[in-house]
Amino acid sequence: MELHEAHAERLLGTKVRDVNGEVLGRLEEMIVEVIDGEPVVTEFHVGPVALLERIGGFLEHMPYFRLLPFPKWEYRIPWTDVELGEVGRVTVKVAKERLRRVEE
Amino acid sequence: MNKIFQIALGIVTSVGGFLEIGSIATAAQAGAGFGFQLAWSILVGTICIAFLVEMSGRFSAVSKHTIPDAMRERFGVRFFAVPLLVMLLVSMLTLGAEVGGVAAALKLATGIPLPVWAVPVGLLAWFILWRMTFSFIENGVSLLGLVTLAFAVAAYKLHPSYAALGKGLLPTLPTHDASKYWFGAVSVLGASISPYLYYFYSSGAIEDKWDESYVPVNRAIAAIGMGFGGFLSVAVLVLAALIFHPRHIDVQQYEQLTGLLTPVLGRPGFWLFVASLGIACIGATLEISLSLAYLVAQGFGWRWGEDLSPRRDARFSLTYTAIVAIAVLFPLLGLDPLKLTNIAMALTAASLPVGVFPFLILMNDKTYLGKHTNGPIGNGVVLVVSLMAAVLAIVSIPLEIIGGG
Amino acid sequence: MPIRLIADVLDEQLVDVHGENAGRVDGIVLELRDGKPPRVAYLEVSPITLLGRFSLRLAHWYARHDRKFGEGRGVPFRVPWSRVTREGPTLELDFDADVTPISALEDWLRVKIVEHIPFSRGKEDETRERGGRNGAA
Repeated sequence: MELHEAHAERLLGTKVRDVNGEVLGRLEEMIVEVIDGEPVVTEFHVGPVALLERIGGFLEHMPYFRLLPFPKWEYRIPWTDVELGEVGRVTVKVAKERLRRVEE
Repeated sequence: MNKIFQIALGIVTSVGGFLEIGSIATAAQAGAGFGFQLAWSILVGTICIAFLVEMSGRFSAVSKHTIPDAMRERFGVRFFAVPLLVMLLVSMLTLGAEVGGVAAALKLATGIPLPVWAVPVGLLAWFILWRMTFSFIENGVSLLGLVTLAFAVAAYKLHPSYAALGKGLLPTLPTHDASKYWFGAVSVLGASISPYLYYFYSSGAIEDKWDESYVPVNRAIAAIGMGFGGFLSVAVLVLAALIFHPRHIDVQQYEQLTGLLTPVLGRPGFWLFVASLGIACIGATLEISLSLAYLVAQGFGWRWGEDLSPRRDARFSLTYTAIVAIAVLFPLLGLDPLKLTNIAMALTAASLPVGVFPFLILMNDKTYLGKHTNGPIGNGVVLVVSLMAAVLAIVSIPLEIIGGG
Repeated sequence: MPIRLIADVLDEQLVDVHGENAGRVDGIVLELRDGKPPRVAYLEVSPITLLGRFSLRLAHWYARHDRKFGEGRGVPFRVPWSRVTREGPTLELDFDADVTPISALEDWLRVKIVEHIPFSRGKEDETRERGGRNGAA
C-alpha cells in the first residue's frame, strides 16, 4: 500500500485512540459527501452505536435486545480531527473530551 | 401462471419435497423409542420452518436480495464467513446422508451394495443440476415426491388413537431414557429446521422473479405446504410408534425403515418405501447442492442461476459440481447414511442460531423490507425455537455420546 | 445526500453495463491528501483484497500465484469511483466486466473446464419464454 492511500475495509473495526492514547472505540462508519464534484470522507463514526447504524434496524421491532448491556454511544469525528496512518492506525488529533459524543 | 395455480403448485411441491432421510429417520427413531411422546418436536419444528420459509420468501420478493447476498452486504465478509463455513460444514454432512439415502434405496431395490451406487447417484444428481432448469428441480422432482403420501395412507390404515396422538403434540418430560429422549427431540428439530431449506427458498424466489405481489402467495405456500409436509413426518412417527415401539425395536439400520410400510401395505409397501426414500433423497440432494452453491456464489458476487447454462456461470456450476463430488465420498467410503443423518441433524440443531439470528436482524430491517418487516409473533417463535434447539443440542449431544448413542 | 461508505458501498453487489453480476466491492481505496479530506478514489474487486481483510499474508500468497496467469494479474482490480452509480439494490458499473480482470477466473474456468463438459450450453433456449434471469440482483 502506498503511503498516500488508505484502505477503508482494513480501517473498519480498528481501535481509534485520541491524542492522549485513550481508546475511543472502534471505527465503524465513514460518511462521504460529494464536495466540488469529489467524493470525500467528511466524518468518521466510532463506537458501538456506529455499528448499530449499520445493523441496528431490528431494535425497533425487537426492543428487548436493548436490555442487553452494551455501551450506547458513538463519537462523530470530523475529518479535520483524524489522522489515517499506516495500515490499521487511526488516531484522533484532539482529546476525547473535545469530541462530539452522541448518546443513543 | 395465475397466482391460484402457483399457490397450488407451491403447496404440492412443498409437500412432495418435505420428507428426506433426515425427517424420515428421526421421526421413525422418535416413534420407535417413545411412541407418540415426541410428536410435539415435529409440530414445533414444522411451525418454526414454516415461519422461516415464509420469511425467506417475503425477504427475497420484497428486497430483491437473497439471504446470503444481504448477509454479506449488511454484516461484511468477515462476519459472513462464519455462517458460510458453519453451513457448508453441517450441510455437507446432511448432503452426504442424502446421497447415501438414494444409494440405500437402490441397494434395497437391487441388493447391490450401497457404496457401489454412490458414484452413479452423484452423477445423476450432477447431471440434473447441469442440464435441467430450476423449474424442473423445484416442481418436477417434488411432484414425484408425492409418493411419500404413502406414509400418510399407511398411518391412517393403522387407525391410531388420535387422542393419544393429540397428547403427544404437547411437550412432556420423558419417563425413561432422558438423554435419548432429548437427543431425539434435537434430531427432529434439526431435521425440520434445516437452514438449507429456507436459503434455497430465498434463492428460488429470485429465480422465479417474485415481487411484492407474491407476499400473500408466499404466505399460503409456506403455511399450508410446510404444514402438510410436517403432517407427513407425523405419519412416519405414528407408523414407527405403532409398529416398532410395541416390539421395542430400536431403529439403527436404514433397512429397518422398510418395516414402516410393509406390515400395512404388504409387498407394494416395500416398493413404495424404496421409491419414497429414493425420490425424497434425490430431491434433497439437489436442493442442498444448489443451496450451498447459491450461498457461495451470492456471497462472493458471482454470476449464478440454475436457468443459466453452465458456460455462463462457470464458478457457480463448478461449485455445485465440487459439492456433489465431495458428498459422494461419504457413502462411497461406506459411511452409514443413518448414522451420518443422526450426526448431521444434531449439529444442524446446535448451529441454528448462527444462521437464524443474522437472518432475523435482516427480517426486521426496513431498508430491505419497508412495511413488510417481521411481526412480534414471527420474531418470537423463531428466536425461541432456535435458541431452545441449540441449548438442547449442546446439552444432549454429549450425554448421548457418553451414553453410547 | 451523504453516503455511508461501509453500510452502502463496501461488500455491495456490482453489476456491469449488461446487468451481469460483476463481483462485490471487496475494498475501497482512499486517497490521502495534506490539508484536504480523504478522497474516495477507487473500489477494489479482487480476491486479493478480500483475502487481505482476513490475512495480509494470505493475500500476498494469492497475489504471487495470480501473477503467473499473465500481465496485469497479481494486483487488485480497481474501479474509479466515477465509473459507478447506485441502481436499486446494486452498484452499477458503466463498462462490460467481461473485458476486465473481474471475470478472469470465470473465463479461465469456462474455457479450460466447463466447455469441455457436454451439455454446458443450451438452458437459456428452454427458459427464454419464462424470462429466465441472468443472476443479476
